[in-house]
Amino acid sequence: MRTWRSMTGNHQIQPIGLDVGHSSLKMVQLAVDEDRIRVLSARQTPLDIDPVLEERERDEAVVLAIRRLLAEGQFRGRHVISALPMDKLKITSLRLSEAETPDADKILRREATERFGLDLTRDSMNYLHAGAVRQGEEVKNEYILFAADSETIIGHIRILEGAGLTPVSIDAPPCAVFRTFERTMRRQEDKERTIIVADVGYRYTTVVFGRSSEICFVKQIPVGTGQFDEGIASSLRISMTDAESLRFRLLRDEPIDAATRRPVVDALNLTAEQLAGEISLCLRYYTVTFRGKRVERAVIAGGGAYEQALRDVLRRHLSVEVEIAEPLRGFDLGKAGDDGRNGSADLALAVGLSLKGWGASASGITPATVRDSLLEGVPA
Amino acid sequence: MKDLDFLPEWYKDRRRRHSMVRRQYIALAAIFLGMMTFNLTAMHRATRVAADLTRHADRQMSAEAVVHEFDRVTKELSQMKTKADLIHRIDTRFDVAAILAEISHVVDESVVLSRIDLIAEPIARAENPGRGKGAKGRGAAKSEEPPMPLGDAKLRIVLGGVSLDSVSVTNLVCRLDESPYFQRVTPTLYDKVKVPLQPPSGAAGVKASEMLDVTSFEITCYLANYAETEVR
Repeated sequence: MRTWRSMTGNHQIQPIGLDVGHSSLKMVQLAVDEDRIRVLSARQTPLDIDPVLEERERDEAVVLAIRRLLAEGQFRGRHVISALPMDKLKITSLRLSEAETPDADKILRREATERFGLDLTRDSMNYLHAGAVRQGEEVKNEYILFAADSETIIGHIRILEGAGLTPVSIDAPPCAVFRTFERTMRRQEDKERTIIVADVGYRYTTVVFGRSSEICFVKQIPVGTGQFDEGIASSLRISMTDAESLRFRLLRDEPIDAATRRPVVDALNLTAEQLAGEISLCLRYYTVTFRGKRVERAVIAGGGAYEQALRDVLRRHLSVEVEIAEPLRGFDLGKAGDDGRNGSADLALAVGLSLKGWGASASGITPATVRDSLLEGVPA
Repeated sequence: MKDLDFLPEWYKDRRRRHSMVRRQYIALAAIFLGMMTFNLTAMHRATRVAADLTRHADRQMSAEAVVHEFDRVTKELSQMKTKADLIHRIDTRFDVAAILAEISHVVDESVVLSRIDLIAEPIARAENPGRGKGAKGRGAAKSEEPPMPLGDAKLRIVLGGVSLDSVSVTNLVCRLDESPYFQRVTPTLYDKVKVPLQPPSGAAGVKASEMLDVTSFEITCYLANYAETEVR
């Protein structure tokens, strides 16, 4: 079989991973062989959407952008795995005693209903078991609860179908981001080490603490690269577009006059301090909650991964190694677009989405089974 | 890590249903195509068979016409055979003209025939049983021959007349016997008679009451159209 597949080039093609961000759209598709992963196509495009636009008009712009990427990229099939928008996904942590654990599902559903005001006959709720934590003298199980209302999900499906795609799964962004790096943590020593994955988006930063193949902690921080631009814009009293342009010039190390550079750097540091402070609080919470689990490093993904100021501040706050995410490291980039060859930190979420259903997962779900169900109808 | 999925069950069900419907459509299309192919093939074969049938029907009609014609000809031939057989049975095959021609060839100037009787007689199987001899015609003589001498028959010829002398009669008998036309020549009557001499009309010097001595004779012979064989 393997020989035949290698002769015919017949790989298992994963669904397209689609990351609909606030400022850009990313699409990645992977082909999985038994011993390697090949990037079929990796494309991204900025979403120049006026913030004052209605949601319907914004959705139409997203649909057009998806169609454009589909036309430009060498994507195969129209099956897609996407993630709900971070601002629409409701996340919270809950601790249940050992006695309550058998009824965890029922209790968590009730909590989701009460906390988020959802009707679970229509709305959706999922949860992860983060691990056992000690609270006083009692050992409790911590759960991470994810919920979304039906309007959000239906609206998301409508966008995907409007673009000619067939959703096979809708994921939660923290899970997708962590999945990208999970595959690099399969050594025995990694089981006792925790990594922090911070996906710095335009409006939100998703912080995930994970160990081995399990997510221990998730936090949404409403600070992203947009806040960097807002800081620069308010500091220099310029437009957001000019502020973004200045930030990119600084990233590319282009010459900027000193009078402008100083306020820009100050504004970036200010926002970075704010974000790093939030992540630092998350680390403190994690350290207190999950005692004895050493945090090894922090990986910064998303558009904000390239902010030198942020990385420097994070190193100082977290006292761990901070590195820029390389979600495509180890992949065969043979036929990928230029977007896959250059800095790919902002593709982390899309890569994680495309990887869904593949690879070892500690959830008890057989990877092959999930892959088969997800790949139903995807052309090989 | 547990895989979360926010895709609603109703959507998955709908997708599964659509997939099933699509598969059913594909299956139906495949069945339809198969049926169409089968139908076209069957129709093509049926058309060919119908054409063959029509061709064979034409040939059958033609053959029936030939058979009918054959029957008709056979029947006609049978009727003709029956007629021929009948004709064969009633035809004596006597050529009277040839007989008369031969008689006129045989009879010389000194003989005047006053009577020629041609009498057809049936060929008896044993004409003279006492002598152990029989007669048989060229065709097979049948015992149930009717009394009428039809078909295979022998012709008895009786010649009556006068001659100037007896030698002429003898000569006539000899010539008749030598002729291949006649057999069994028998002089049955021989006598000296006087006949009035009739001068030719307008002839001078002949008396009307003058008598002439002639020999009257009667010879019986049979036409040699049959052969006598020994009856065992």
